[in-house]
Amino acid sequence: MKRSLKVCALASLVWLFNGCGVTVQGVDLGRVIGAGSKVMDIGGKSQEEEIEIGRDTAEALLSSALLVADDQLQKYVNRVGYWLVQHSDRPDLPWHFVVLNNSAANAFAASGGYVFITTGMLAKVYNEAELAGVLAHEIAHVTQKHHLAALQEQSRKGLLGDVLVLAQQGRKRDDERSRSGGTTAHFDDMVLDLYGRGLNREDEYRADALGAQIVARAGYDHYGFTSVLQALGGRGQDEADMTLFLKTHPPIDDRLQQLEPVLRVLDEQVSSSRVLAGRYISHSRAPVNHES
Amino acid sequence: MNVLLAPTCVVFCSLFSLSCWAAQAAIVVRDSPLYLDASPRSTQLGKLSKDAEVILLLRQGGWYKVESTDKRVGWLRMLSVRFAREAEAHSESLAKLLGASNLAAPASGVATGVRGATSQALADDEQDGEAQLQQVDRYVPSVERVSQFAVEGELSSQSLPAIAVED
Repeated sequence: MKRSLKVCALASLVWLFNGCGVTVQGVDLGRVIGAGSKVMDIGGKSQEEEIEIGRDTAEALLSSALLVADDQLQKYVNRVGYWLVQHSDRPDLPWHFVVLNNSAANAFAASGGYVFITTGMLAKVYNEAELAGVLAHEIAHVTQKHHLAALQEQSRKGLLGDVLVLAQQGRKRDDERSRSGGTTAHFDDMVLDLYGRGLNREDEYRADALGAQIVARAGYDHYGFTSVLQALGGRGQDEADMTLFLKTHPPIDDRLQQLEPVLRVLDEQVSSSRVLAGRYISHSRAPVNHES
Repeated sequence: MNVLLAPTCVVFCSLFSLSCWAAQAAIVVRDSPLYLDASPRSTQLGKLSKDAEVILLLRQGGWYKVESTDKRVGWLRMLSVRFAREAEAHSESLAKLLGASNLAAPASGVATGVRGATSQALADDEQDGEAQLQQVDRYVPSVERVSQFAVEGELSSQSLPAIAVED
């Protein structure tokens, strides 16, 4: 299991918070927000099973990624995250917000309430509202069970059966240190495929839109995430290390364009918002030793 | 952003809820009005054509204060522009602010971009995942602490209707 989940988790690590642009057409965000009970039925997974899969994935990820050894920073990011989830439709999940010591700008999530952000991403963020925007995008993926649904869909397509069973079989194999298991190999292939191509575009757009609304409800500037995307988009035009991302994902400009109608509506709805640059900098100023 | 200006900028941002920027080159993505203030109801100073180059001076909510190549200064909607490139000063100054001036290239020297992991990281399996996961549990705040945190930041919940996006 460790190996298969490692594949899953490391592929997660290469998962941008995700740069997929998508068409807005036909997406009723009102229904999306109210669809919690429907989403809960995806794949027939209980919340406990969802959390179990997410925790296994998180553990595997943390087998290959290093936490930032800064308790104050970790607690700060958790406070921002927990304030945000109180304004989501799944505040009762066992949320965890984790800062990883990695200089690549990245953020991603695992089912059941795990949200990861790298020190590289924190270095791209100017203020708490921008941090909140990044976290809220990932929170939206979790609340909508995007990862779980994608894995389950792949499992169905491959006639591999239940994703939780596959994961549990993999863990059993790892525990017993048995030599091999065909089922687990299928699971490896499945997660590799999923994390190689990412979530579908509609999921990314929904996470963008829902994230903006979570941020606004929590009292933050709802343009924070937009600001981060713009910065990353500009970066991508000139830097070679963005080539793969741009090749495999729709342009950030398209994504921003699709998000604009939601932001305009929020402009009219929101009465006050906070940026909190000073608090962000004071909490994130502690030295961070990136991997070398 | 000049390092010497950074602390001033932080204070300014804190007081006025603005986002400060390094001088950032940007491209106007559509014909757009240039406003005197960050509001569509303010006086229009003129228009900027698609593909015009501007320098972003400041962000306030969904607006950028910009300077055009003909030296006009005004406000554009945030999504009327895209970044031409990331100014080097942007990340350098922020790294200094964060105390992270020891930013290093990934181990392999070849990052896979914002997708994140290096090939070296993909090959490594050196951490104790279970122990780190248990450590993560320690960072979960109490409900009371979260409420206090919101109060300290003057964050207030807003009841907003869900947004429906039409075809």
